[in-house]
Amino acid sequence: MAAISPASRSLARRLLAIELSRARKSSASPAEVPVPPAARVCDKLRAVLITFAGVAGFRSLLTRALTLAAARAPELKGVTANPDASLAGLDGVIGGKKKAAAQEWEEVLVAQLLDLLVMFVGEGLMHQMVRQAWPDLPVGPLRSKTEDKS
Amino acid sequence: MKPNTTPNAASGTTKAARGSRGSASGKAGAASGKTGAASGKTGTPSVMASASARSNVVIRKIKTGVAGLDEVLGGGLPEFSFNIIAGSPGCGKTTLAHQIMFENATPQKPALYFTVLGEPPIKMLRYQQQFSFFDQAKLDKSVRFVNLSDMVLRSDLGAVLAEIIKVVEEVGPSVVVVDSFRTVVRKAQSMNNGPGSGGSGGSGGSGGEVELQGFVQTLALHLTSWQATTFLIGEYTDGELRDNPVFTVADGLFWLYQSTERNSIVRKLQVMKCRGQETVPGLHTFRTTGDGLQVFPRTFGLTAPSDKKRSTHRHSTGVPELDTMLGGGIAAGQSVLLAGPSGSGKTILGTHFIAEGLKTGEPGVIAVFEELPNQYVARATKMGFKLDEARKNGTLEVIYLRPLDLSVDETVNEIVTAVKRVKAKRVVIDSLVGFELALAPGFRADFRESLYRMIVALTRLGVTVISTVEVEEDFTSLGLSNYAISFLSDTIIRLRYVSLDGQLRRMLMVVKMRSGKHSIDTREYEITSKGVVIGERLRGYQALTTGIPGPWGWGPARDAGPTEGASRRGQGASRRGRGRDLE
Repeated sequence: MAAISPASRSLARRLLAIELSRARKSSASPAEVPVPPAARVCDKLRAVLITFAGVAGFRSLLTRALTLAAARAPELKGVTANPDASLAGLDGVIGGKKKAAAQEWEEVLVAQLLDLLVMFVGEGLMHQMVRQAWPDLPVGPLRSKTEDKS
Repeated sequence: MKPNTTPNAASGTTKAARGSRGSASGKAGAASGKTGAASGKTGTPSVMASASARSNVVIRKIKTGVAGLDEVLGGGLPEFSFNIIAGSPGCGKTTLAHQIMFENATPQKPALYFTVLGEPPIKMLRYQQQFSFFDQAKLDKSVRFVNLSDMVLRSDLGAVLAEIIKVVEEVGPSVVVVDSFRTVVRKAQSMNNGPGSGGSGGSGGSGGEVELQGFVQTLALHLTSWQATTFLIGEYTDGELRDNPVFTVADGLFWLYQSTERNSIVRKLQVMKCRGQETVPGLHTFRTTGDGLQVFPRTFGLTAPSDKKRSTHRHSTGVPELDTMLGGGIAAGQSVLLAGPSGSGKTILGTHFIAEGLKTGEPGVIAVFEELPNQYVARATKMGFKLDEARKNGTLEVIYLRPLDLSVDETVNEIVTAVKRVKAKRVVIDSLVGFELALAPGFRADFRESLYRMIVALTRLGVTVISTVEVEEDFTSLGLSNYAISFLSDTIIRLRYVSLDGQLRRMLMVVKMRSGKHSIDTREYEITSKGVVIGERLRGYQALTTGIPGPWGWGPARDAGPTEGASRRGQGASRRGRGRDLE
């Protein structure tokens, strides 16, 4: 099994942080159970990708990412892709778990999805898709090559 | 959108219109009354209009971004036309559509690419981005991919149509592509053939056909009124051409073929239909490279105005005695055939010719088919010809053409492009035998025609061409070439082995020269470390051209027993394809 690239890990961490922050801001009350950041990240990528890849196209990518991620974090085995290519079961898996562990699993899942995109459509197009989903991301490289070398 | 027009044309008035007719602004002026007014060159007004009606609609032509295709189309694609790109899988339909799309898409007038049920879009992006025309920066803002596969599977044809129209109306694109449209057609047919559909049950059922025609008509109407140039991509076979209503509605029909000839693959394109355009008829070969498709129009080099100017200049061959035999050298712009057996020095004479040109400031091109350019140049360098230096400073190109599946048009294109690039005055084609072998088998059958096209295309440019050809030696006659192509040559120089005094020696003669008087001597020559050195006229022999001469007064050469050398060589000599016999 190929290692997840450090650059994808780093980008996944950034995206998850952004979505966590947004989820907190948009949450109506502290009692509300927030949508896990990884689900929000996947959903944003889904919106961009289904335009050209179709629901089935994105779902197949997500399913593959889940399989690869579950090999590293077996707890993710319970997570699946819905017919509309959204994530199912993630909140159940990470709910009540230690924050650090949950963060790690989410990071693995998102990084795996980003790695797959890089593998299939290349770094450039993956960046474009991410920027489409998060237009307010700061200008500059999203993944640095030095991270991949480290 | 980048219409192939000048800014004036874009505003509805061409330069030609203003110049020749002075028509009112906004009216279509007839550019000399010919659709061919669009020469395909950038910046040339490319507006079609009838000479008789000044108020005719102006149909602008957009560039395809495919090298050679605009020439085939008569200047470009008619703007707002509704086109079909058809062909078997793997022949380049998607790549062609992508090239057109990336060429024309801008953020203001984007291109929309609808994928239905065909190549998975992620894979399509994965492979298409390998082409140089694929500009990632254009994605999303200028080029948008829309996936309709879920909708095709889920909904009826009406919903698919509604979705296409909705997105087109939102985006206002300049180019719309639906890939693969064939799937939509099948969907229509399956709906009509399905249980309870009320269809006739056959693919040609009238209900299905009418519905499909209605779908296509509506789509075409909507897309045209939304000012988009549209392409439907589909996998069709030739037999489907007659019955399918899609082909009736389409303004343009581009058919791509891929055929296997022995071990070679040849790809061809035909513009079967292009309303309002004066296209180049016939099958045009094309190749897919890292830059995408490149089309080689079958009239390449034969239709452009000739650059050939009447000139009395004679090019030195680089061998002074040969120049003398040629009455001062080779007349500029002529075609010379250098015929001789293996090892007779044809290549070296060709090198002399090119090297002499380089010395006098005349750039050259050498097209080699039988060895690699570096080998060719290394051998020339050993003899003191400074070709390497010329290659470095851009006055010489040595091009290697040996893929074994070339088309004639492709070969001509390669050589002509190199000639234009270095502004060559001299060209050597070494050799015609190699050229024949480099062609795909299907083209070898028409080799004479191929040579005609190549030589004419080159001489029209005003360059002087030397072609070498290997002749299998025969000791009873003097063949000029195995191709019976001497009519294409203004000058023929024949090199020959001759058995003299127990030695196998070489002699040359000028057999034909259209531009003036030439020597009728047969001269002996040697190949030295410095190249070809021509000696004295061979006197005192008869039947020299047979290769086995005898002294004057001696019996007829053919009756004499062969000399030692002639016997040895005669055993291997073949009479295959013997050319014109001089004796």
